[in-house]
Amino acid sequence: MRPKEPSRIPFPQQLDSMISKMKERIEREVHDTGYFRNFAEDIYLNKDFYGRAAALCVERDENLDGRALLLLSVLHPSLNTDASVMLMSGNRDAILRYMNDKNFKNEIVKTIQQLSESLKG
Amino acid sequence: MKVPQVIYRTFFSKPGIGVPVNFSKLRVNDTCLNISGKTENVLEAELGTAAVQIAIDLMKKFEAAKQQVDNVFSKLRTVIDIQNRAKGVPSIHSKIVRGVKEGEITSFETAQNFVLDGIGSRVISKSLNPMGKKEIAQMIDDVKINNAPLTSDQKVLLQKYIYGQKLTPEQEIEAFPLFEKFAQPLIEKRSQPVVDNLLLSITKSRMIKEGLTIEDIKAKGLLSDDLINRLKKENIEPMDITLINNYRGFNGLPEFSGRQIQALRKATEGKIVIHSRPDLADYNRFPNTGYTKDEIKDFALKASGYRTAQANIIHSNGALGELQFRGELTNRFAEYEHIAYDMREGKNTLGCLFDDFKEEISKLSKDDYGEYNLYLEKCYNYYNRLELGLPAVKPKLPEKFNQILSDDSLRMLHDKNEIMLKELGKDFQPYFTAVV
Repeated sequence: MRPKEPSRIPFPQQLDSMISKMKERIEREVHDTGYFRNFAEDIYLNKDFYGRAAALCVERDENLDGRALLLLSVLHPSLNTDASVMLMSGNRDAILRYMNDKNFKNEIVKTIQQLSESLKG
Repeated sequence: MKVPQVIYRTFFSKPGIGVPVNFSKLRVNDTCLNISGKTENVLEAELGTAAVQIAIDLMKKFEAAKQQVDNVFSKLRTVIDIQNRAKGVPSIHSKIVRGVKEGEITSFETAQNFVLDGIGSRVISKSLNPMGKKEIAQMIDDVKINNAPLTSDQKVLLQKYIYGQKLTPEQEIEAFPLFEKFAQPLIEKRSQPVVDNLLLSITKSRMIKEGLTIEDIKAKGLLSDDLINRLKKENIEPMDITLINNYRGFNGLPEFSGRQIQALRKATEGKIVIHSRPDLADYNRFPNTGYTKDEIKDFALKASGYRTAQANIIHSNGALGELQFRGELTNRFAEYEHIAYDMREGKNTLGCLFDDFKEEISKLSKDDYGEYNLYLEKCYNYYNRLELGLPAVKPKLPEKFNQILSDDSLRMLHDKNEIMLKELGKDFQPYFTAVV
């Protein structure tokens, strides 16, 4: 079986697409109360980064109903390990507000770089 | 003008393992480390000098750092032992030689910061009592994936996996996430007291350094009510954590569960990076990335299944340390399993007893080494299952390998080596010899 091929779309456009898909899914899948599934959207990274891929993930808060954690994760080239960090936690509206901030995208790029570096050790 | 003579010597901090040093610099404690334009021998000695200086600094900081770890974990009923050590000269030397090769070290300070595990501490947790068939059956009934109970087929598959019955490779891949979910309560039963104290320590540090208040903690939901009460009542030792590794093999369980990792993320409000496995029972953080499952497995074969939760820590006195959390049986296995890894990393800390083992390991082709690591991973999983009170069958070393590589043989070599080192170290005093 062939490995999945990285996309040829330039990184900034892929990043925009990941953020926008994630916002849509948060809007649709994160509920004010009750159970919802964890989910993630990922993109391949280009050769500027050590990591193979980056992902935005939403994890349901195991202790607080209706709340979630927004994570950013970078996958090691071996695919075995990732380095992840929590960007923020809160309810759906708070997470979307955070993602709509004008600095969000820049922060993501900076953090991808940091997480990628942390995987080198 | 008279040029001062530089004296090079070999420093033996342990019997039989010497490190070259620039003795002249060491005598005046000159920590200026200039690594450019040096011949290989001179560079080795310069790095040896830095290794001795770093080791001396660590020894000065060791007692306070040890006390800090003891204060946080020693009174827990689930903790049976805490082991501490300051990294020795040969080990620091090997590490900074690697750091220079990787271009990470340019000065004494960068060398010092490269030794992240200068003070190493291990918090060893007690095993759980063996479980009976009824308890296991009840736990299988309770497993939920994505909030839904398992189907009857999944239950049969999980049961077979738990009892080590023959499965196809495809069935094993399907069964493992179920097993991970099944084992989550056991993982938490064993490690929760340790994780709770870690959460309290990290939060206490944030209260001191960042001005975080109990009201903030409540409002943001950073800790459970129980832990907030403990934070108010108890005298908590603060601790700074910068990174957590939740290492495990391809079919291995982690030391900390996903729920516990989430609690650590929340307590630090995203200030620590966590290295873990991205595909979990409930969801995969990289659903669209990667290779086929077979290829992922192929990558995983390169690792030995090493399992430990490991935190990078900055002790209150500034010393950099590594805090490991393990079970009693996997800790014992890791002590000698790591020999092959250390050897491949070029660590200059193995005694002559390991010569035959070293030779045998170095002869292994890449594929054979991968297969050997698969055996080591099975050993890790075997000991971990016993720690969690689960049924387990001791793995056999495949016949193609020399028996010196087996679990029993490695343990015997390790134990003999420990006795030998103890004997040699009885009246040993560190010393310098002249280098020709």
